[in-house]
Amino acid sequence: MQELQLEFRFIWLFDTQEACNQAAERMSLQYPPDKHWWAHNFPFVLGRGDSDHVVWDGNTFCGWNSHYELYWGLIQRAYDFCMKYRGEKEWRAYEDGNDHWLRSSALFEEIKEAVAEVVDQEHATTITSDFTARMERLAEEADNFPLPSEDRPARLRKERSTSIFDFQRWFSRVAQYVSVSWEAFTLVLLERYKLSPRLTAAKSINYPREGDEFLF
Amino acid sequence: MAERALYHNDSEPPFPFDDIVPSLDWLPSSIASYQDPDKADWNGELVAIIDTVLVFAGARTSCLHAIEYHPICAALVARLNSVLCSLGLERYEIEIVLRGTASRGRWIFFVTRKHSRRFIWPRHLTHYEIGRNLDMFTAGHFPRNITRPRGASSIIERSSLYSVFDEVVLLEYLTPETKQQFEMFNRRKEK
Repeated sequence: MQELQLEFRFIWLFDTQEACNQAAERMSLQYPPDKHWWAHNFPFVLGRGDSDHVVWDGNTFCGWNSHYELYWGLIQRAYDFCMKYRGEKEWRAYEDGNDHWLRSSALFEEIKEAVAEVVDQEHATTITSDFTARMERLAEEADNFPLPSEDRPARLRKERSTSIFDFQRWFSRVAQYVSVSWEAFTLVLLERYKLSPRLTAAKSINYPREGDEFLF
Repeated sequence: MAERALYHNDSEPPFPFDDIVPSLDWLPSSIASYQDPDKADWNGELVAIIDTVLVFAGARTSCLHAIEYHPICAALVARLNSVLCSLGLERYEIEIVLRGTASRGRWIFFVTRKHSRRFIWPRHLTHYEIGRNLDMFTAGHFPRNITRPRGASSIIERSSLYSVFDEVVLLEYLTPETKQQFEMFNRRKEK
């Protein structure tokens, strides 16, 4: 992406229960982590992948380039808040019309903007106290929400189309069949090189029997 | 470059970025048109576009997407191929490969290089073969029993946190030795 002069950059995340626990442990320490740890683990700090605690909606309170060292206390407090008050219970309250979720999302947005700025330590402390007080108020409010019941799905799901005859879908299927038939025709007659033996990687890891089942 | 970075296949020529980049001045604005702040959790269109660009640049052997993203990827593939043809670089052309069966409601498509020597082309593919097409380290890790301990290996875009690559990893198959290889293989994908 860099060579194509595009802004996107990628990181690898191995999301396991162990990784979430390690992030939680690191977040409880009084001093901030080093840059390398932050660069590879900040998504865990945001609750990305920790579906036991967080309903992921993409709203975050910091990013890879936040000044986490300067605002470490605030980042820790926001992390605790996220783990405790951005879960199923709060999401269901949102589905029931409570705006707590939206207000905490808006607060996260404000925190994210604040921690992107470099300020002096005194100012950072004031900012931290202000946001902490606001998170405490939201936390108190969320503590009074009813516990979620088990009788309905937690997340919004897209409704499946119930129409029996959808011309656009039908036309698209026909077009796909034609395309697949054409591909099979050219593969056999014009592009036989695609059927030659493929490059293979050294076998690296075993897999279960289900791996040899045909998906389609 | 997937072939060199992931598979140490130095016989594959490097992608000619210097020749191509001047002809791609339209690409950043084209991608930006798919960015949508209202889609904070997931933006399938943008991910499909980013994936297509990654395949085009040779960073991935192929990518796989749901059929609903076919129109936007097809348009991008056509445009990128026209740039390649205008520069006489047809060997790097990419194409869309439809797979699936309508009867089982599974139309999906790969994007890959027309002349990829790694991509497995036949119509009927196993989970393992699909995983290999997608450069998965744990190809074939497709558990029917969802209670088996597992992890998720993802490549995510650093700013948006959109996932552009996901694979299931059954932890029982990871030995200390393979875990190290697994980490090194995936770290190379970050670049």
